[in-house]
Amino acid sequence: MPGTGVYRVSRDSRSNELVRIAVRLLASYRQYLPPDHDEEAGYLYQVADGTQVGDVLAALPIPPGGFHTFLVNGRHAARDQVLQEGDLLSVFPAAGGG
Amino acid sequence: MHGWHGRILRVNLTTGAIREETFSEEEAHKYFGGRGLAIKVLLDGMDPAADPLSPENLLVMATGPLTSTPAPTGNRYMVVTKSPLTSALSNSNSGGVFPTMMKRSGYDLFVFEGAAGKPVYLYVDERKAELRDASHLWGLDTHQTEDTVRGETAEDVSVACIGPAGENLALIAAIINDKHRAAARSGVGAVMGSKNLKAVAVRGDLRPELYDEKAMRGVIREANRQLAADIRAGSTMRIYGTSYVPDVTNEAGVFPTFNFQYGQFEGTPRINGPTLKEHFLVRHGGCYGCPLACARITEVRGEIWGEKYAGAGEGPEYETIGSLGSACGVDNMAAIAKANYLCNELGLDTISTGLTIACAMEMYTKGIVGEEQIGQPLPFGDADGMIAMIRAAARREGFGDEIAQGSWRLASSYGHPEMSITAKKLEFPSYDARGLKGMGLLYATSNIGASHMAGDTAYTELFGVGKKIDGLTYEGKAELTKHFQEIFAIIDAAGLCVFVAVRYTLDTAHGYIPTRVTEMINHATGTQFTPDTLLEAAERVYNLERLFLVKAGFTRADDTLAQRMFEPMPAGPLQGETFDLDRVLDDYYIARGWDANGIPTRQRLEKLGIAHYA
Repeated sequence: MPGTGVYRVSRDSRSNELVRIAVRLLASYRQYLPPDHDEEAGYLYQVADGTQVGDVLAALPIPPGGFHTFLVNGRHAARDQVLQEGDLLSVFPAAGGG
Repeated sequence: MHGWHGRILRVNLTTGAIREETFSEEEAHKYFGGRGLAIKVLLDGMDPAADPLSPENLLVMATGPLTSTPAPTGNRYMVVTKSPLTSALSNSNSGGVFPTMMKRSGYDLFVFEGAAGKPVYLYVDERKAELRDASHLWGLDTHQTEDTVRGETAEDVSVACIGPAGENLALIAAIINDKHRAAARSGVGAVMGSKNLKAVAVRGDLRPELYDEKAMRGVIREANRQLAADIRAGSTMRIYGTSYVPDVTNEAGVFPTFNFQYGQFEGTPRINGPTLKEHFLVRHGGCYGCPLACARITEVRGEIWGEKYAGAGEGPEYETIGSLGSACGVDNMAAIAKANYLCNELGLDTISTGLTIACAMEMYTKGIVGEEQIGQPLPFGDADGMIAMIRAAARREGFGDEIAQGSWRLASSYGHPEMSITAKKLEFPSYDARGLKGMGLLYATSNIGASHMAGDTAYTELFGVGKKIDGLTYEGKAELTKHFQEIFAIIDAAGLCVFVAVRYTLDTAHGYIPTRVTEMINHATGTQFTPDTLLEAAERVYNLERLFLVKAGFTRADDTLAQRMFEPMPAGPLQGETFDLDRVLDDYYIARGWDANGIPTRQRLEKLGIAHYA
């Protein structure tokens, strides 16, 4: 596997050069979840070392140009934050409160 | 006058006298909107130190200049009074159909003074107002009350009323309109009960002329076009209503769990939007003329979920899922929906009710109260115990009498006020302040206590509407919270709903600037507000409300949070996080032009033209 890019992977796949992250799509973005996603774990990606949040957002099956809000490990993050092994990226549309 | 009738209906319940009063265009602009006129009525007409459940308290129902207009979500009203739960101000807001019909009955505001000797209800039909005997309604729930009043008046009336909780002066009682909508917070239902006022029924088609309806429709078209595009793109609010929020708050670790002991709930997937949609949703509903229709009309089918949970109604909304769900450790959506239906029928605020029961559950779990006081076990997660407590609270039977007092009185009476998750004795909405510093500052400083509706900074600190900012930083939060308090005052005062107004009538991309809402107000009323002068009008309203608190005896010491917020979050993404109020409170007072005790300075009041109220 090359050293750049964002790849959807299975739970068991492993690569030393790649960083493994989980992605959760929330709220109306649930409609874009792949049918085999794991509700608890999210669905898994392997990304090249140095991959930023924005790179993954661009690769996700969500509408481009939307007003995406995202958290990394439940916390506020910048679009250029570099993802680390085991990070959880949560993405949802900016919709408002309750 | 445009956008306004310029008429207040003043009802003296002690004497039965009903009279019309007028207000001037100048007053409606200076004391902006329904919320502004209402606080003026209170400051002019009562002693803020009065006992809230005495006849001296005034109860104001106020529509805004955009209520009943074609403005998207121009369908809200405010209930403004002195709160029996907090002794501070009540500023409860509700939608549905009642606010529109109230305005069309020919009045902008209703003011109730005194107390009736026996139960009455007010019926207003196009400026014909009468008090009617309500003895036969006393004891009925809100649905029975509405149906009975409709039968006695007209098919097309809209009704706001109290249930048994308000009659029994439960301090967490709501005023319910159109059966499923609530002006819920801080015990406004008990004020109605103390006045022996069971219901208000309105009908009519009197609409104030608009200053420039054509121009107004142009602005509305623009807002609606944007809204329609969002709906087509799969609007979250359309698909799930507010029930989508648990997934987000749980992810961020701010979802109240076990009475705010934790910020993540293991049972969240069972009480979230997809669960509600898949198993309970009948159809979408909405307030009068709303293009968004975020309400969920739901049903719990007894044959599937158990007869004890069977029922139908609206909701639960996010706040109810938090307070009657995760805060109580309840992961059963059927039970939460049933609890929600019961609160609406009995006339209880779901937030304060849920968090008071959660407080009791914590006290039970920690051995502070036992079965001998409660009459049954009440551990976290006990959905049936929760439902039993709701019924008992409305009737003030057994331990329900203690639940009916709200969590602060309950916890304090057993020597554990730290288990009451309140600010100014009002229970928190479902956002943990430790993870959202603007929200924490809002809860601490709000003139009504902990309410998200007083300036929901989670829009930017969590949801990222317009711009996503970090909820965990303190920098700039003093100014942010002040700004949101003013923005929400504008929306309230105008008679709009926050959900649509924030997204479609503000310029969120440039810092929540009230662009379209200013234009709508100007076109409706003939004012010449700019976004800046409208914000200043909102600041005037906010300071008047603060003066009410100052006169009621509130000080800096009251601008604080539940003790738990100052202790570290034990787990989750916010592990170790606390709320450091000292880092922001002085900055907030400075931003407001208030002194170090939180009292508006003469200088600021003069600038706002209200120094005579100091």
